[in-house]
Amino acid sequence: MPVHSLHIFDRKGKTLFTKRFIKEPQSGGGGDNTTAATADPDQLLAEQRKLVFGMLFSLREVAASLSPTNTPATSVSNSNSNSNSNNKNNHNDYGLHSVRTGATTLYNYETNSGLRFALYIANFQLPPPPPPPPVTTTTTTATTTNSSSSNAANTTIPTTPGGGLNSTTAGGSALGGAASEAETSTSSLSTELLLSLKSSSTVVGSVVATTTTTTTTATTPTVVPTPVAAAPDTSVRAALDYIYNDLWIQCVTRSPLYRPTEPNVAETNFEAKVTSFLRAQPWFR
Amino acid sequence: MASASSVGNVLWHKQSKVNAELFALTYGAMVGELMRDLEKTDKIQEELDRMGHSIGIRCIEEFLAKSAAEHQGVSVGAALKSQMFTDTSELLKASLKMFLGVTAESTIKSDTSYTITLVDNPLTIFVELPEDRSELEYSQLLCGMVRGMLEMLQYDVTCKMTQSQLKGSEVNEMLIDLKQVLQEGAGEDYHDE
Repeated sequence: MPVHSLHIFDRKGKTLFTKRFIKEPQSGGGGDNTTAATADPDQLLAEQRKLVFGMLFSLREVAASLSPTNTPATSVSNSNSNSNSNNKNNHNDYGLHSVRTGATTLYNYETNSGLRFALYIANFQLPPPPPPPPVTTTTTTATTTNSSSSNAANTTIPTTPGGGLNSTTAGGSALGGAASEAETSTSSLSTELLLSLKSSSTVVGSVVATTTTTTTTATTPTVVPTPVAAAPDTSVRAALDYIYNDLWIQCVTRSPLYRPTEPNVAETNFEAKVTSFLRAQPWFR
Repeated sequence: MASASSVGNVLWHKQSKVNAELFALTYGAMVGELMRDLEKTDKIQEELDRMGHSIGIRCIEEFLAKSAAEHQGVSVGAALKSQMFTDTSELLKASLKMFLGVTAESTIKSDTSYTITLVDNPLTIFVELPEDRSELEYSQLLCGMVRGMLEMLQYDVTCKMTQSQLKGSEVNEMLIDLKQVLQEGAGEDYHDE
């Protein structure tokens, strides 16, 4: 399922970077002025960007005003030091994560410096992966059930790259609607996989093969992190996080050519890096 | 606070590093260049402050991103931002540790001002101020950096060095004073675009 576009806004609403990956139908094919409706594609795009920013900005204000105001001052230091409990840390994250329609989702990643990354992407199921790189077994078992239950029409179980034994087992048991912790019995795994996967036999074969051989839990510290979560939401968010942390900071913020006051991201190699990173994602296509 | 300094320490260890002497000498060469170009002390200081500001606005982004990565989504900045201005002192200490490797202390003076104290200043390890330049604030770049960093967090501050080892004090001290909290909102650029 394709990524439509990526926009990056700064705090004031100025567009720092925008990239369309597929041509939107309304923009008239990008330059075809024969229809009256698309008078000026550039202007339309600018309008669209302003609308997107305005929507994200307003939603953020709404979310902030709706959220409870009593974030206890004393527990701030506690939540910072308990880095092993993900859930606790998320309590302070009141920003908007995503806006979903039937066909598409707009993922929003905000930073504290006011930078906003908006990734507009069609809804997708993670396809069964190619031969897996070493991945972490992150705590995404709960989210696996969420995504599979929310996509009722499609019975394909989103599987992680097969090295994650634990998550695929949970994915299999999600058929029954219950998220369970990891069970590493390969026989039940393989039968459930055969029942549930609509993937090609080669992939099933490779997944089953890898379950017997690998319990690779090594992280990939310096390599681009492939999305380890089966849930689209977390994997996209992780990708946006990577785009910010590694690509934006390295290419743009640290670049001597970049001037924050009059953004000229085009002078850095950010676009090339972002495009190659997104293309490498399994959900890009 | 333990959490801020531990964040700073961890980030410091992860950063790629430059030779401290090279850094100090480069800075010194730059100040020397400025002295030749702009003779007046206050112009030099203004220029150093401007440079520091532009460094600060980039540094804060990197700091927030890296500290968020450390704490899986809740950065030191995020937690602190929603609270009082004086909590930014913790953030500054952590970032000074991350970028310069110096351990700083902070003293809260009031709701709108605090001081940051550095026992050793990496910029001044080889420096002596000459007699005729005794007014020059050599580490003005640091002040500008602090100003830039806090500006990106919507705090408009003034920052000046109140004590400097180059001028005979025992420690280096910066006073940070909040002028106003900047309002968030879509700026004129949004409408212009």
